[in-house]
Amino acid sequence: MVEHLFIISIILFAAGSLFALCFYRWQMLGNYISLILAAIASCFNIAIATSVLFNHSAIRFNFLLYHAIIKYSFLIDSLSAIFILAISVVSFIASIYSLGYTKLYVNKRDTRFLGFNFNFFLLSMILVVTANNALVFMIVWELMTLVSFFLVIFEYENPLNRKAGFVYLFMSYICAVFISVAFFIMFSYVKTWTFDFDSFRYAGDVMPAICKNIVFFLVLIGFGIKAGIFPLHLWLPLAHPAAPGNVSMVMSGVMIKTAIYGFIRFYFEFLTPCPPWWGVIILIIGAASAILGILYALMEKDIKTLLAYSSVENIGIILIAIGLSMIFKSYNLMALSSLAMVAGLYHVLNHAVFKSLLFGCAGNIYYSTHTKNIEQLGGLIKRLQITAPLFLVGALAISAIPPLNGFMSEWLVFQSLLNGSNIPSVIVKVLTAICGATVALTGALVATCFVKAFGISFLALPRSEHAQHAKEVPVIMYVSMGLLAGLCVFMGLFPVKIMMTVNHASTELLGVNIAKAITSYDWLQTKTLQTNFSEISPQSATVFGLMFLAITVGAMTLINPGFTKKLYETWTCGISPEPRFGYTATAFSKPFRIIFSNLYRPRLEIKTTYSVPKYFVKSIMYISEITPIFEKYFYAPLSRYVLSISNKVRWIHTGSVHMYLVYIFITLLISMLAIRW
Amino acid sequence: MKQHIIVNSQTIDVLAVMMLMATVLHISTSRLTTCVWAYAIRSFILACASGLIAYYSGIYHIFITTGITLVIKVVIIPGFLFYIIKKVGIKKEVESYLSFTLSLLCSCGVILIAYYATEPIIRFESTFMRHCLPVSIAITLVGFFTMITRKKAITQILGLLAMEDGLFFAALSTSYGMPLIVELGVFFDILVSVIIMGIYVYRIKETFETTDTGFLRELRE
Amino acid sequence: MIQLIILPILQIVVIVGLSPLVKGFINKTEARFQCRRGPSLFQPYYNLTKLLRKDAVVSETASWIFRATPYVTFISILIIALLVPVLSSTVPANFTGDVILVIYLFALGRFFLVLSSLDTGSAFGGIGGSREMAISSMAEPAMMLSVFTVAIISGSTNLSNITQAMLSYKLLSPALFLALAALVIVIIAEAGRIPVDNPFTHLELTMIHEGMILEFSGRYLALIEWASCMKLLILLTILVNTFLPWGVASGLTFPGLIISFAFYVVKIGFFALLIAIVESSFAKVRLFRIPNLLGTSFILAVLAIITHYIVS
Repeated sequence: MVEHLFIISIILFAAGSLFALCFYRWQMLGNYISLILAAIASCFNIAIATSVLFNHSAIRFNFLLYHAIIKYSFLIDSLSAIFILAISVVSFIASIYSLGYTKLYVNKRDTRFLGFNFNFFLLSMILVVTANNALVFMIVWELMTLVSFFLVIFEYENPLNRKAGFVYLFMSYICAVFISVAFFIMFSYVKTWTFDFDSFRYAGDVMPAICKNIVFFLVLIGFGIKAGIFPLHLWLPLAHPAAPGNVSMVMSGVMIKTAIYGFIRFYFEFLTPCPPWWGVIILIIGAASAILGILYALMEKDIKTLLAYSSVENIGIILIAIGLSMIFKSYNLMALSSLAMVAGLYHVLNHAVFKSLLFGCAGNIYYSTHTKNIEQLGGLIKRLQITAPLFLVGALAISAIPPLNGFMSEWLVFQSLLNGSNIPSVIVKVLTAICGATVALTGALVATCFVKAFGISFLALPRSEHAQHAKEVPVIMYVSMGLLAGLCVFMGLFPVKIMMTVNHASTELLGVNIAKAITSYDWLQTKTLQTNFSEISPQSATVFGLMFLAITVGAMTLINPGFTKKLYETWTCGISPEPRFGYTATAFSKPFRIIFSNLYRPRLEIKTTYSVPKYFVKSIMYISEITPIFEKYFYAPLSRYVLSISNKVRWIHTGSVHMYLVYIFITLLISMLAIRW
Repeated sequence: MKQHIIVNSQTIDVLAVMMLMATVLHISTSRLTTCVWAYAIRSFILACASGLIAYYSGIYHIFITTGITLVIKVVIIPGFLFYIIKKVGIKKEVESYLSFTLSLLCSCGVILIAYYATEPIIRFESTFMRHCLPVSIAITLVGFFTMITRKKAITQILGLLAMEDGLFFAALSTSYGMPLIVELGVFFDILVSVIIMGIYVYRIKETFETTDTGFLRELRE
Repeated sequence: MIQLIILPILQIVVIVGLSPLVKGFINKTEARFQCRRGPSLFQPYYNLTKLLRKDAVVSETASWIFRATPYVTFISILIIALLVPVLSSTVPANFTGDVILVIYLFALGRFFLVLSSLDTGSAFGGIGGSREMAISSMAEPAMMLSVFTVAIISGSTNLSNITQAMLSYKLLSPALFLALAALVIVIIAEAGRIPVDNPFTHLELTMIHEGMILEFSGRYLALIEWASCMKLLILLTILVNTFLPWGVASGLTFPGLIISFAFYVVKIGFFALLIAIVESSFAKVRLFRIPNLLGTSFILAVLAIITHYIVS
């Protein structure tokens, strides 16, 4: 039954993309049909994932197309199911959301390709997390890259978008090369001569340590590029803002999670028993990505770039949890490893939900104001009256403010970091504590960043015509965002349910079920979350909060029943308030630019032009920017080096067909001789 | 017979950590007078610790060292340094070759290394008093570090004094002090060297109009 | 059972009721240091009652965020008051959360306060808000590391369990001593006292907290002022009852609570006096020197956790 659902959902996605192509005259109709089909298919996938998670039964398929080497086999175990769940929920919402968002392109642009690629994109992500064969995995992985590349360059007239697309495609190919080399190395050691993941599952036992280490680094770089870890994040802040709103929602919300899926598959299944230092490296990279990602997000003025950098930060937090889980596992502390894994997977789900919510709301802003620059916004809370609170929920959730969902996963991460005190090695222990401080700093910076994002774009007075005349978006767009906001609240208030869900995957991966150990009952006999350090019950905190609210409001009315509010303009030292008086994003982040000036290397330039008498200033130009040190000191020399090498080997390319035939011929001869050896 | 005496007191541990805190204060302040205050406070804590060690171990000549510490390190040397600062009229405060954050991080690293390196030794100590050795080494190293990075002559004197404090505390806590005559000699040495250096600082100032030791490079020619 | 209901109420009453007095005490002491007679000890109460009875003037630019902020701030602090052991180390509501929840509830209040400071469109609010966020971000790592130290030593992040564990120690261990020093600096920064922020200033170049609340009036101002008094008292309570839990009752007997209350008043009074002394003898640090101060506190916290791991 469930198997059939999976096949039906694949067919629906494919049908959806074809429908989008078919309608040339009534493009919007085709678009609607394809999006609705995608939404239905996503619903089916949600059903599949839940059924796999709660029936504890993995589903396996082998498709009939049977080649000598490629076996089209798919497997949905609980780890895949968790990722399918995240992908499908976001896909479902994104499909509904697109029904409204694509109105932006009516009669302006050929939307057929949008629908076509969008459906294939959703399908390819599902296939990536279910593929059970290395070759199939690589095929769908490349498919995912390719269709998302087309989506990134959807608005191709803008040279910036084309550049973003190019960088994205280029880095994705590097990523694919690394992953395939990793697969081939493993393939050469498992003697079954198939690319099936089932045979790779024992690869860790047969491979020599040095090869395992090589595969570790190959996978780290390969999936690291897709996940956007520092310093391989280069494409992420370029490509995510370039894509249309509904696409960047999916890309940032779930596509980068497929890389996390890859990390877990490799490090917890293929390459097990792993030495402790692997986990330490993942932990350090996670901490660095978290802190640097958010520091760059803080400096951004473009709301979608800001969100993209914040994705880097969240990937960092997930990697901290996964690195911890690896460390615990290598010291054979399986229960703690499971706890850290639960924290990491919880954050995967959370980030999928709140990041899509935020990207969706950024899409709403773009839809109604046609700008992504928050300096030009302001005062939107009175114009987008429903989008504003939804964005606020997302901002609170991502800043880990209780009782929303971000807090719960952050709490679990802190609890696993505290359990770092059980590790025997002193250095690793100290490292986990420092990571705790890093996560705390990151949390505070995230709060600053999203106070800025919300405060500057929604509050105070509008700073441009666009913001002045903004209108609320179509109903379907904020309804779909409302669903996500509801999920944020639900996942924060009922952590035990989510924990139970992700626990299936960590139980299957690590062989230890900690469900009993981390649930307890509070005063109302409802289930709460506990660890060996503490327990927490966001429901009761909320109940207390509501109680206090009632009491406070009651007391206020009792004390002064005739309370009136007088409206008057803001005090601006005697002048009537103007939008220019309000704080801007650049001003708000100024203290950080000074505190972290070593990192940002801010550059200031003030050009004043005078009119004829030297005393009257005609115009002042003020340039303030930060130096992107990774681009400047890492990528620029690298690309120069590559270019100079390619210049040197240019003589090979003579342009003559005969020469190329000679190359092929020589290669053939050499390889034949090599076999004889 | 000394190896039979075992002093085991958590108070001394706490005092050791307080000395470490005074050293951190020494690095983290940007005011010369606060630096001297940090030195005075640390010397006072050192005197308290040595008094306690004398009391617990029953080696009474340590009381004499304690008294001398109180007089020389808590009163005379800080007083003399305050006098020099006033006399030279230093306008600019602490100057360093490294930025504030970097020097703080470096000294944190130095303290870490001190703890990490002594870990195999202190593991076999009794329950308390484990902090004394790493703290004294940390103070010595941090003193050395300040001598390297700070520009002003007075801050370098303070670095030297910190090193001396650290060594003194190391000797005191691990082997309950050196023979009295050696300690008296060390005290006298320190006092004389501080006074000589103080006069020297004054002379540098007179000659070069600055106490920045970087300018001493000009003497090469 | 009845005690389980009475104790939380008692905690709330103590925190809500005593917090303006702490402010009054600090103000009075500082006035004495400056050879002034100073306002009455109960002046903060008079101010609050006056403000509560007044009507409010609200900026036209402001939205519902501005009006919701005082309630959010006040209530988040009230929830924290439930989680902190004040008189007895047994906290009935401790299943609700731990010290991490406390830190993030403070963040909730701050989040809304900074938003409301931007809401009015005045530059003063923005100045205050952006500085507040910068300082609290810098304070966070040191705070979390000292919490880690305490949590690992006592085996729990739950504040009442921490207090119970600490009651068995006679003297602070060196690691705890370092953590205490780090936390004192953090608390001064979090509560916005000199040398980090001057609570009396209304000069636009120097104000932080006052800048944020410039546009509030009437009952909104009263709620925010009260919340900030309570925040100071709660921070001091956490400090006093985790590091120096002398006299804290471990059961729920009536005489035990009375003795505990007496100890509590003395300890809080001591720290309030300390704050007054520090405020009268130091100048406010330049804004961009504050990271140095908090960096020092971070180093102390790192040393705390390292000494704990290596030595014990």
